[in-house]
Amino acid sequence: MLLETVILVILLVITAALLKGGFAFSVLYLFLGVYIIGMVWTRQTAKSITCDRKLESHVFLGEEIHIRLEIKNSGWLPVPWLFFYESLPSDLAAGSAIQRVLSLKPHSSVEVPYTLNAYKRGYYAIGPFNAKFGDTIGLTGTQEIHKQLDYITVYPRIVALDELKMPSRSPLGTLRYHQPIFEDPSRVRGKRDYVTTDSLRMVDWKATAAAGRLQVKQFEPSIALQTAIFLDLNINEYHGQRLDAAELSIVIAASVANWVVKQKQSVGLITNGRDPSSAIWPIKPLPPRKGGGHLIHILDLLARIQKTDTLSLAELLNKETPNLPWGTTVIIVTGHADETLFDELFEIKRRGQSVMLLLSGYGTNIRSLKLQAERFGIPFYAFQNEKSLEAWGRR
Amino acid sequence: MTEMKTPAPRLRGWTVYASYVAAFSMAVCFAGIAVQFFRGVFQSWNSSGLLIICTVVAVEAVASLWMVKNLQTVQKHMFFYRLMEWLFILLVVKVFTEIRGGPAALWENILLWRKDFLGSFVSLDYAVNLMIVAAAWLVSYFFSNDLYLLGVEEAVYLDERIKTAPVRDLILKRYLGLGMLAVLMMGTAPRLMSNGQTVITPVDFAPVIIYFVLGLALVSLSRYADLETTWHQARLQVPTQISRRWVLYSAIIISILALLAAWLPTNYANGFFEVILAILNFLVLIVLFINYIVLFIINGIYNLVMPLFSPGTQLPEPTGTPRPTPSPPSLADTNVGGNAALIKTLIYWAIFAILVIIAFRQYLSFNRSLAEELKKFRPLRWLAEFWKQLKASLSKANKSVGEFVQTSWQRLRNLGPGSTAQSEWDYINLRRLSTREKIFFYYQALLKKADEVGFPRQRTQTPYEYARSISSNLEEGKENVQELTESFIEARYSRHEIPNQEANRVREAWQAIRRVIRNIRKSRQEAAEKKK
Repeated sequence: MLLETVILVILLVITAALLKGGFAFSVLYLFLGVYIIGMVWTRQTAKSITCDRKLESHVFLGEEIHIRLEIKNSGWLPVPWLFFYESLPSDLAAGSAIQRVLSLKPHSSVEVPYTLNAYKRGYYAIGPFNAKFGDTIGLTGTQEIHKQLDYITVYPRIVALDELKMPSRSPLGTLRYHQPIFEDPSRVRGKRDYVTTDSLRMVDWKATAAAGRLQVKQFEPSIALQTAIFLDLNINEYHGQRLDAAELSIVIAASVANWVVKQKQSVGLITNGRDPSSAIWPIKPLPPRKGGGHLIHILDLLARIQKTDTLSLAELLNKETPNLPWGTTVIIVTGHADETLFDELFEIKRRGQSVMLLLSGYGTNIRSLKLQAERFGIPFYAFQNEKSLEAWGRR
Repeated sequence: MTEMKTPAPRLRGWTVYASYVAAFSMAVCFAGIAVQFFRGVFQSWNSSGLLIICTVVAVEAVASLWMVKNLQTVQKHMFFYRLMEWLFILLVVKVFTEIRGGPAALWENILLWRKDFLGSFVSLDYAVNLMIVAAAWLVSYFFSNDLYLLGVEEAVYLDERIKTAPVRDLILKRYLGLGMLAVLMMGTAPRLMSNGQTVITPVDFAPVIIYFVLGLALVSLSRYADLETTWHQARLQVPTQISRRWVLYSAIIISILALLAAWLPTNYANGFFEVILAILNFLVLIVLFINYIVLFIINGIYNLVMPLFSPGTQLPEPTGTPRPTPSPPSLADTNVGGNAALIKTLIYWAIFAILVIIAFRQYLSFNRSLAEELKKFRPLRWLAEFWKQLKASLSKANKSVGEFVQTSWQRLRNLGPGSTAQSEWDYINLRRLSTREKIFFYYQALLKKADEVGFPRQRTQTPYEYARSISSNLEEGKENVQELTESFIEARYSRHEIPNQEANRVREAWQAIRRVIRNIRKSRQEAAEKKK
């Protein structure tokens, strides 16, 4: 086809040059005109077509994701045809792609709305968007434009937990506590008569003057719950599980983090998983912080995170727990527990940090693990599915 | 008879019908071009009314193709069907050829069949007519076949040939191939027709123009059919506005181009090679003119200088008829058919060449494979190499000339009275410095002079640290050093205006320090002399 066109043009030029025949010029004008118009048209159109994708970048599980593709022709030339293809993640869409064919007038735009469903936690790429267009004669080929990927983060499911009993050794917090050793001098509960063993610093002089005898203040014990969730995503710890226990572990971690933040306490997340959006591995730990913003950071990470097989949980604990303050509650979420892990947990306890072990899936003998945890004085809970987590939260 | 087992390809509405109309119209145009050609070859040949037969045959080709494709029974007896069809066409053409001379002529010819069938049946007129009719039929048939395949959705109905080469490419190839043939025929036809006299009227080459215009329409429509088939295969909903706009835009483009082609000049006074010759003549003329000017100047100088060397001798007066003075060549000498016509032709060819180059470059940019092929072509490679070297030499020459001009200009500027070039003995004029700069200057002077007497500033020292370190050595100028350092820090790190009085105070402090330094130096020299 290429050759024919070139030969024809050469033939026309020779005919026009040798003979003073007007028809050859007329045909040449036609052909040159077609090529020039075709090229100018497609190139100008390529410059003036833009695609904008409007979407919510973060959604919760089960929500609908409304995406609007706006294809705009800002040029003065019309676009007679445009075929576009938008790739979609199969976990969010029933079909695998959105493809349409349309035509655009000068200075006009077309909006293509479509909806995805957040069926599964994850970090999903929307696109790429590829569009192909050209002129109506088609001798100059087609042009293509592309739009880069956009990303959607689907947060993991959060199970509402009402009341959790978490061990803590951090004094002077905002949570009431039963042991009087953590008395908070800023929380005066009442007054009583002085006894000889009382410290003089506890004497309430105003009340003493009013009562005419020595009165001492009584303080309410309180603790601060500084929590660090250790999420185990080592693929070997979930081997041979009937369901995807790693996903359950992520749900447990998200639910516990949510509960802690609701209690206005600080929570951190440390994991041996892999973040697909980042080249850095291992993932930088999120240190214990308070507030909704920090919870969103944790949920973002939990949405993206994936399993790996490099660092074991025991190694992670050994590496990270010494950096945590005294009294921090270390919550371990894993799919498997063994002697090595219990040894590590015992070390953590001896270091003055509280430990809680949450096991997901059906992987190991839960009864023996429970007994072992009791021996070490470690609160232990096992969850087979999300329902058991819900039940635990309702207790 | 009407048993339809093979599913018929879906038609894409009137765009497909329009494609068929364009296709058989092209076949008729091609027949028209062939008529023009053969009229030149065979002067006595009668071509009247042949185009009507060609039109009928072209329509028949489309219709028969549809019938063959859609009717199972016809497909089974294809050979007999085509044989009968062609026997019928042969007869129709024969009847048409003979009946133009009247029914009596036809009857006479029929009577002759008994005596010499071949000689009387296959006359020259008949053979030429049949050739043209066959050409029209074949063109119409092949285009229709391609268009038919273009409308087929499912790949199972495509034969192997179609699977490997898209149908649209076939149509395009056919269009361009026949176009080439048409150009060749039309290019040679007029010369043959008028015995070397190139008198052509626009009507004569109307078929070729119409052929190409219709071809563009067909290419556009086949493009749409091709794309629409692809979209349907992808189960896409094709909006109706696309087809409407497609036809509208194509019609606008082709109409504009047809009008432009009709409007733009197609006749010129001088041919391409004549124009090249004229340009070369013009260049030679310029060279001769420059040569004449140079010789004239040399001659003038010679005439002025020679008498100085031989003052006593008188040159003998020339006798006889005086030699005619050479006159510079005139532009009118190389006039080819008048200057205005030449310039017009030159502009015409220049525009034409520019258009061809632009189109070819753009075409190559779109078709990289062809560009790569052309790169491998040896003569082109040599040309490219030559051009590269020429460009490099020109660039080098340009650079050296530029440098020469620049350096000469710089020299001239330096020679001039207003030369502002700084000499290497340049010094800082304190009066021209700002207050802040004056303070910097005094502090720098302190650093330099203190260094000379053995109190250098370390790289890690801050101004205050340095001030403390030298204060112990310059006991007499301790306060002045402190004052100078503070003023320097203020000038260096503040943004507010520094008053002029500050510079005066700093100067006084510096002069006091300088005196102390001089004293130190003097005392050291005296101590050294004493030692000696």
